[in-house]
Amino acid sequence: MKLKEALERKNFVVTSEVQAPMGQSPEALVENLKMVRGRVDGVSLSEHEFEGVVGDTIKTCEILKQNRFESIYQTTTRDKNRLQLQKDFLDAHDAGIDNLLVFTEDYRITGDSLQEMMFFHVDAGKLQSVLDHIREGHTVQGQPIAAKPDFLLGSGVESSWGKNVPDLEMKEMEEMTKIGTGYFLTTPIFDLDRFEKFLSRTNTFGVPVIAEVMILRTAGMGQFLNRHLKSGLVPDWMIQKLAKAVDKEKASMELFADTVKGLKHLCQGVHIITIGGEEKLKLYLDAANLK
Amino acid sequence: MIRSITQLKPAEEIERLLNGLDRVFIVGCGTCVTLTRTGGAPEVAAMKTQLSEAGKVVTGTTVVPVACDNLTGEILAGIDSQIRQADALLIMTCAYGVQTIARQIKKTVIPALNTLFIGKETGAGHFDEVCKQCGTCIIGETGGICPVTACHKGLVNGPCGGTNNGKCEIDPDKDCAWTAIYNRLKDLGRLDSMRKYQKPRNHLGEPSPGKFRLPAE
Repeated sequence: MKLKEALERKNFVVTSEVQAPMGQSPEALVENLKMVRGRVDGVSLSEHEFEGVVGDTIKTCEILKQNRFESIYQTTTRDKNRLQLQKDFLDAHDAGIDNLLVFTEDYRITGDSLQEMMFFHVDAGKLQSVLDHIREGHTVQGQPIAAKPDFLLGSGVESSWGKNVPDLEMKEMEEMTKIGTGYFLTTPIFDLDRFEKFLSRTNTFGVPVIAEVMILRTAGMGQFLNRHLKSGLVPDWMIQKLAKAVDKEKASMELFADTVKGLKHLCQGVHIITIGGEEKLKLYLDAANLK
Repeated sequence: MIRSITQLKPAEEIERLLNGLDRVFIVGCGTCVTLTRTGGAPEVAAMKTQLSEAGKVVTGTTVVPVACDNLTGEILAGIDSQIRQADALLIMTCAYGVQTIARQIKKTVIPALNTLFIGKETGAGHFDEVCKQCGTCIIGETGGICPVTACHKGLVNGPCGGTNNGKCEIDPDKDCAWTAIYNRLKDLGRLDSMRKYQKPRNHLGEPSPGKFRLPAE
């Protein structure tokens, strides 16, 4: 079933994020993912990651598609201008990809040389102009193109506000809805209470919300996120639980299962970030009783 | 008043640039670099001491009133003998000053400072960059605050997800430009401007390097 269809039917969708392998064939990735085929509604291939450079994302999307996965081309508007975005979207369409997940993206804090200039030429408004142009069958310069790609677009939303959602954030979601976003993907959810408050305050304009769930394997990962991503993002008790656990994997799975269980009542799906542990994804899906 | 904001280069870099140039004349400036304490009289004196201790011969020093002014050439011509004895001029001004002097005097020029940006003094000892001279000004719709400059990402359709309680994700000491714009527009009762979509900017306004000639009358 296509992701768009699953969302329309109000299913609780499960997507996961992986990276295109660099310098090797994607066979190992495909084999690992085969273990969860039929249990995930989409696999997103990200172009930018904490570690930096990744393999050919569009090519890997195509290979996953051939292996009967619903692939999602995940990219950012950072470090690209409109011409590059247009090219990437058209390439993705040619490769048979129906789903996009586009972030305007953050300021990079780790990974490949931080000396490089990061540029943010394209914001949500300009992204819209690119998508509108190609949807209508012409390039940003007005040249006609044969294809008229109409993607299911996923957009990011900052969800760590609790009930104090600023007006600005609300407006951003409204703008995203106007662009025609198919679903909102949140920032990583650890604290369910705070997320519930956030949802009760935000008007998501009928757009489905998919919660990002990051698999915490060690206490160190939690500390890293708190230090570099957002202070207080991972609650202390989670870090303590992982730090004290004898069987870290079991503790990690319990935390994951509890989070997913809570989210089932709150939103319309989960987006699982395995951070390089996709071979274990099946075990986590089992633990959380996802299909 | 706008100011050229500068920072002293690391001592190792100055040492490397002066390698083989043993006789040095130091030039400071009485305007921006005096205000930012990077090239005024005290800094020039300190540099003189530092170079003397490193075994260089300082043939003389001067602090010109405005290094980027074309009159600087005439002022330096007045102390020509000291300058002639030097192998190089170590110039403690912004790049505008360094280039003005380099054009007027046939001597090797070595900049002692890095020029960071053209800024405005917003408080005692605080300097902020407020304009990037992009050539396509939109501050009429953003409450007089320039997002191209004040937003780290230069977003003209802001804010981004990195806005954090009025601060920027890149540095908790930096203000979020779009929060400031929002608050300003709210005060002015012009929040509708927030919703206006800013079209992609024409980056061909004035291709770099900028050049402008007064039209003939």
